[in-house]
Amino acid sequence: MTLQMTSLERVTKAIKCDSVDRVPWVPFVGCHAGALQGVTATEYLQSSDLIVEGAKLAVERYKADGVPVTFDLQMEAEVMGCRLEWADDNPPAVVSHPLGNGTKLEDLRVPRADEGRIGLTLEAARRIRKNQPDVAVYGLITGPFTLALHLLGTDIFMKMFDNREYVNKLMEFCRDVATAMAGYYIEAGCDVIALVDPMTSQIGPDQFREFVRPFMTPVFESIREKGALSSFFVCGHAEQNIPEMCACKCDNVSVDENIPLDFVRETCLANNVSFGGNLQLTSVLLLGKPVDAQKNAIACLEVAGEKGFLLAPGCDLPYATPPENLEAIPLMITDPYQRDIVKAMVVESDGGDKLDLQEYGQFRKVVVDIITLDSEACAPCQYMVDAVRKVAPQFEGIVEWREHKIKYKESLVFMTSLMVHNVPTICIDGQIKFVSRIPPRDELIAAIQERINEKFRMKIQRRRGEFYLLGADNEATARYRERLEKAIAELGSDTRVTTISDEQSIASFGVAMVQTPAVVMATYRLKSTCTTPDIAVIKEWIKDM
Amino acid sequence: MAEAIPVILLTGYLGSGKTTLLNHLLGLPAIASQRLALIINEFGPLGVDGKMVDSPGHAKYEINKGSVFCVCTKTQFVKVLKEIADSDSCDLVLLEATGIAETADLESFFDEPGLAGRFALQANLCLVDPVSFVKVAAFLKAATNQAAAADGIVINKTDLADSDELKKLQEVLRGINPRAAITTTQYGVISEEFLLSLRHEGGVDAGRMRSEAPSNIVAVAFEGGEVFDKELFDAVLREHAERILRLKGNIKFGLGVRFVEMVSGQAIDKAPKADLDETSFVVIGYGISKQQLHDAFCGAMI
Repeated sequence: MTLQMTSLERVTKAIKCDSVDRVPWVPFVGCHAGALQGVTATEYLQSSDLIVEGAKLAVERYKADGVPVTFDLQMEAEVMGCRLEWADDNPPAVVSHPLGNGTKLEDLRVPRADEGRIGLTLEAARRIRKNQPDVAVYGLITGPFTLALHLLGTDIFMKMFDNREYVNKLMEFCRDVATAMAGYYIEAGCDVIALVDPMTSQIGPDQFREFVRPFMTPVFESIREKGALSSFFVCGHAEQNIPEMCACKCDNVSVDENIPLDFVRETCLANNVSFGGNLQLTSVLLLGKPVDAQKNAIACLEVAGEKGFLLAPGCDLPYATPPENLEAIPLMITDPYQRDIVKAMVVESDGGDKLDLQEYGQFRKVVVDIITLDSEACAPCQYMVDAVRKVAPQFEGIVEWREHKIKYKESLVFMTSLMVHNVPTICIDGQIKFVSRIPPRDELIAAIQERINEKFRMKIQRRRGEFYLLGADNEATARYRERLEKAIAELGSDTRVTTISDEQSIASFGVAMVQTPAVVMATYRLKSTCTTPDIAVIKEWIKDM
Repeated sequence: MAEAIPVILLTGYLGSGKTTLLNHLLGLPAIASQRLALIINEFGPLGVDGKMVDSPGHAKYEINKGSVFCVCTKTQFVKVLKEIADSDSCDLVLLEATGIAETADLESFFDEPGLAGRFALQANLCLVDPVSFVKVAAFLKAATNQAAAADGIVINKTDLADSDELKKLQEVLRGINPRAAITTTQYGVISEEFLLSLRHEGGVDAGRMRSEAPSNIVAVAFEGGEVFDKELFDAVLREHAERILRLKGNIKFGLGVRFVEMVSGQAIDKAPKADLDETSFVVIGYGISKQQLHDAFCGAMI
């Protein structure tokens, strides 16, 4: 039993992959803190008082174990000459890139701690640290690659070919800015420095290794030297780069809903790097209800496990996130009873709508069901449907296929009943065969053929049977036998007739001599081929008899 | 429920001419006669881009956020789409995506709670600039993914490339997306017939493509003190002329550094701009693995 920890201890230990009393919860409250206080994102991001109050509300209302000072990836860019467009319900947007508009790289310099909004944000960091001594305070800085894109624009992708030296120099500069910013935040009392570098999701591992890792690693090293912990935040489709991110020697990697958490867990823990994520920002936290947020949290917790995991949204929380959705989450970590209730609610609503599919697949034809989001809207779904559509006619009417679009309720019920958890999925006669993977043509044909063969075998075996004709060796028995044989012959059935006349053997069927002639019919069922089943399995067969 | 509002999606890397094409579309009778909503989502000097669209009388929404990151943008998209659907005054949506947008993400926004069934993608049009595409495609995943998911590909600015280059580009694009209709043009002028002939077919398995860098276009860089044998180097260029889309940089030969640039099979070789003593070049290949390309040039080293 681990003793109860303070929030700061919990976050620190989780980031270091040490054991914790429970999973820490770190809601990334940025401009959403403006909504909590009834002010715009613009007002919030320009006032240290509002930033400090925002962090206080996040800790109190959401029972956060850790909070960012704020979440603004435009702050450094603004100081270096990027023009911003401000919004009421969003962080500001970078709308001009100085290096694309004539400014020379040599003319840019690393911002000082008191420049632009950096000063007021650092002041807020110091006050949050003082007000919340037991809570982990995160200092979020713009990652070097994202900062490079702010400064140069998307020309950076062209320059990776046209002028690599320039890209390298620009990345060196952005590394220096990140190192300086990390130092400022650590000095202000932050426990964790997160390099937020979402634009790295735009490139593959080769480019990451070449243009990001050499500049990211030294920033993490400097954070370590200064005694703080580090995290690498990414959002978007960055699955391909997770191993490279770990190789940057950060303490923690944080991802959003676009990357499967089980993959992140495997990759990070193998590198002794902790991980965080990946509550769904829009569909669940912004547009869902508290129970949706709770279910999503449970799903994350169950996939992630306890080691080295921090529950968090994937990115900056939307301004208008309903607070009740976030308030509902910590209970799922702290109260196993409440968690079970929410889990039971899931079962309850599903259970009511389940179909009895025990006899599914007993139909004469082979039925291929494709469970999709909607083949017209989802590319992988379309490809899966196409694969089946092309193959089905080859079986000349033996194979019937249908698509179940889970945007319709009845399809969702069908999916749950078949225990399908992913889309798209192909089921053959009710058995899950291909999950989220479009089978190559030959593989699909083989799977269908296998089922056809199986059904054929079953059919043959079912047709086979035996009549035990019980009766003394007399005329009545002989007449009966004659009729049985005639019926069998007329139907062309593969059924044997065995006459049993011995009184003791007849009694073993539970039939007395006075009840003869009697007939016991036995049908045969193929139970296994090419395997030697366990005794336990054979016992089940016997019980079934 | 009302019928789904059709959407025409425009993608393409920055500078491929999306805004020009959008303006051209706005002049086509089939488009101009409709009640339109324009959604413009550009990274960078977005305000400027938005203002460049010639759209008097049409509802115009700019989606622009410093955090240009998909999930964050999603919130804005969902809000705008809801507004359009609820307004009951729109027959067609034209959506100009940012140059770094993942088409699959954009398409998924239409399935968010409250939006499913209210919009239907009519056509996904990807613009390609013949000069920048092959350079960028090796580095930016979205460039290839956008072309792969398109129903129609418009190779714009054809005046900037020679016929060999265009032919090669078409071959590359066919490899990325065999099913899209391809047309070539200048100044974003496409016919109404081409646009109306497009049917949205859902694109490629973008999930799979996103998780890997584009595999058919690769970039290899050489940097440092490596010295190349000029004859062997030229032989590599000749042997792989079909597979080298672009090569550019300084190469140190036995007799000194030369600047070499190769475009559509033609190499030029001249004195470097500065007094250099090191090799530094990048080669972009197509239909060859990164390792094979790397090994081919390593074979020309002294």
